[in-house]
Amino acid sequence: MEKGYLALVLHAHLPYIRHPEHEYFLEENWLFEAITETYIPLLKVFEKLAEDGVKYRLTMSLTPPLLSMFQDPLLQERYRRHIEKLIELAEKEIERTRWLPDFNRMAYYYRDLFTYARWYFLEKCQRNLVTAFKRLQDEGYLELITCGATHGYLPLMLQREAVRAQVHYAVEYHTRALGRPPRGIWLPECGYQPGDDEILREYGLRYFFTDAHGILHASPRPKYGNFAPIYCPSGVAAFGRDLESSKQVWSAQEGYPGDYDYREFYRDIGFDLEYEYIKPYIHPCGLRINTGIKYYRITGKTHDKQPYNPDWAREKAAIHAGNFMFNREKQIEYLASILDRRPIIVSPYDAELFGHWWFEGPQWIDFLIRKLYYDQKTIKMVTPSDYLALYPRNQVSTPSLSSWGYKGFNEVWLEGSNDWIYRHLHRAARLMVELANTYPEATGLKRRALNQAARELLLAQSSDWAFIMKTGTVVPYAVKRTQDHLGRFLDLHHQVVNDQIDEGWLRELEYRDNIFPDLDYRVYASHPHINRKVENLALAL
Amino acid sequence: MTQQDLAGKSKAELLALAKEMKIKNRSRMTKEELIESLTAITQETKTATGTQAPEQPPVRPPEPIYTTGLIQEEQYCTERIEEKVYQLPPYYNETRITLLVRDPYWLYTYWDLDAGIKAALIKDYGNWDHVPLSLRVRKEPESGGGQPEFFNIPVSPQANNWYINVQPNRKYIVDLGYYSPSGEFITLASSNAVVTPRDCMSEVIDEEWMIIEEDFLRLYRLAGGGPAAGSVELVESLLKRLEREMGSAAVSSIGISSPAGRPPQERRFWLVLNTELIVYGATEPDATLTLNGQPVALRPDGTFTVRLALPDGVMSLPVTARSADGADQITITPIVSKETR
Repeated sequence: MEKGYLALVLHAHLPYIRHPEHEYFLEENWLFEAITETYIPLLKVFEKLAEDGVKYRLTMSLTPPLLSMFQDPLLQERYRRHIEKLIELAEKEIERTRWLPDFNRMAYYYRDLFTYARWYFLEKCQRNLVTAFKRLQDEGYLELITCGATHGYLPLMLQREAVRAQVHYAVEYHTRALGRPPRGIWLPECGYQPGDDEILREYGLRYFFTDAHGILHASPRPKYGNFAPIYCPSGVAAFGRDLESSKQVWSAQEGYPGDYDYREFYRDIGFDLEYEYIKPYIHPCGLRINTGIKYYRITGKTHDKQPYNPDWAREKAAIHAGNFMFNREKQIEYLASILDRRPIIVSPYDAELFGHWWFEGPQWIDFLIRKLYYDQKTIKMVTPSDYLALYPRNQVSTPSLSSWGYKGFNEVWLEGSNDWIYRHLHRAARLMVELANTYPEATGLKRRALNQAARELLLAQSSDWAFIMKTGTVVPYAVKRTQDHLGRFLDLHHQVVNDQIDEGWLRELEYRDNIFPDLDYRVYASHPHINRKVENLALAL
Repeated sequence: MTQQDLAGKSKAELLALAKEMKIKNRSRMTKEELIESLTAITQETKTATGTQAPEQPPVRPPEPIYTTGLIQEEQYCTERIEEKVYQLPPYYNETRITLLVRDPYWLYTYWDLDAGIKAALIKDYGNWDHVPLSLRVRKEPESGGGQPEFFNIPVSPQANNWYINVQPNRKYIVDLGYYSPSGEFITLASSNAVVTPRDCMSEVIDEEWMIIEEDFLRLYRLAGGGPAAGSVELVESLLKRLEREMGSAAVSSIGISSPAGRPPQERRFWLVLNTELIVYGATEPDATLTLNGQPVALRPDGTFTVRLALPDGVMSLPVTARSADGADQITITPIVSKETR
């Protein structure tokens, strides 16, 4: 009999980036790179495990923007174009590196990786990766949960209606895409503020996650620390992140991904190779960008990088998986000596860490799950739902406001670089609620304009923009997205109120900002009557 | 924060504040010296930005060595649909103040005043800059009653937002107003109420779910509080870790295309040198061609180009063309030697 449980949680999210108005748009590559390096490799690992008869349970949040992009025909076609180009480049690399055996081997490796990705995407999934996730869900390996509709940071929203809309559209879209309503939610950035759980309950969500201190600083004091969930007064369960296991994977200094045998992220042939040769594969304007082909290992704190050796890296991934498991066993044995129940350790990570940043991450997960299944009896993998079924009785306590951002509160999304956005976001949300209250049953063109206004507001609320403004990498893009969506919202508001809707322009916006095609603006009403719609939808499925 | 506000604080509170402000040598300062340094800092940031920055300006990561297309708008080389450029107004013509929580110790507030109120105030004070605008921060008493406490922060009429230093686990409302000539505070707008999060474990114990203190501290230590002994140290250690290493910001999921092509590095002079070799030629378009025994694709006109990385050493490159009917075959073998000194 196991002594405790491990809940691995992968949070998969990318902001909604889709620019049909441009033939090529660099930021769309975020999705393409993640498909090739993270999502397909993870799916491959999950499927192989299932095929080999390894039983496992893993929780994964697929955010509505990501699900939407997976299903968007324009982006699907652009991914095809992207992967074809990469395969072409890898073929050239095989030729170019024929006198450099270490590199040549990797060139073949990449060619195979990309060719597999193309096959998986085009043939196996018929361009729609959602089908692969859904299959693993239906077979009982993955518990897929949702997130905010556009990853809006809930603790900095003023209007309750705005928080409700983020949850409503998410649950609705998730249910439609995956065939069953989500049991849990990954709150965007793990951002929780007391009271938000009541809205989660309205939508049948049974659990969410907070960072460690969200539970440790809950009141009354939680008997089991963050090694068991607590129930909010609303009855929704909150699970706390385990910092120890997070650190082993996250930490830039001590974490596994920094190992010298792992692949070096920052040496990409997009920057390293001769300009004319690489030009067809970088930005059409000739600006050098990452291609995804990287030949070196981290090597050490040196600029003199050595060639990557996939065998050494694989060996390290196995060692690190063993180390992770060993530490969890020790942790659980120690906890078992203090607690009068079997503890749960919750280890959440950004999914894109695996494969994209930490190239060997999917291998590590593969080894870890196999080892957990075959090599020990102390720990069992569970999802939060499984744990709640085992332990339906839990302490009632209110978690503390918290997030998993730097310093643990709201500062990442509220500081000198981005605090200016809230004046506009809050006002737009207030106007949206007023619109929904003023026009409870709009039809025709007005209804379309109101629905589009809701889409623009939601897109403006993505926490990604504030985050980018803070980290300072592609700030002008984040500022522009914020301004564009808010500006479009204000124009739509003006047109609706003055009954002067420009249909041509509206159609253009519907085409560009096409997230949530079935969205109903009336969710923003202060007393919405359409909440039942989600239940009905769930029943219908 | 004014000198009076600071004078009302205990030395411990001042030290905490000085720590937040990253004032050097704070532990060696007297209370008076602390007040002086803190006043200087707050005034400095006020004049610099018009708002009160709670700490040093954000440290920006170094500029990426390589620029990327997304930064220079004009460099998008694709055709653009006629694009409306949106500019958001710097303020709205409405009277309203909003309060947000940043963390247990800081609130953020922003506000707008409508033109009517502004005009009336200008009439009374002659000049907008002379209006004695002030924020009154009201703190709800802790449970057990008592009068609500409040403190005032005079703000420049040019400012429209402010960071306010507060206490954890307390409820706050802020009023925007001004002092009438008779010294009375006139409220123009009141904010929403917010509650700051606690920065420590709760003192509230649920009898049904009791755990001995010692065991809770062990759990807390295991959960991230580190090796510290007492509960206060544990909490500090946990919060420090969140700051140092745990945030998802450490390895962000987005920025996935790595706009900075290189990790930040110190300024250092450097040179990288590589060589490649281009082998090219032409034959009959329907011929087959091999290089080192491996097939090479011909262009429709029969020309070909092979590009190879060229390491040190001697390389032999037999290029063989064979006619479509297999009757003719020609081999040419260049030998290339490269060395680096």
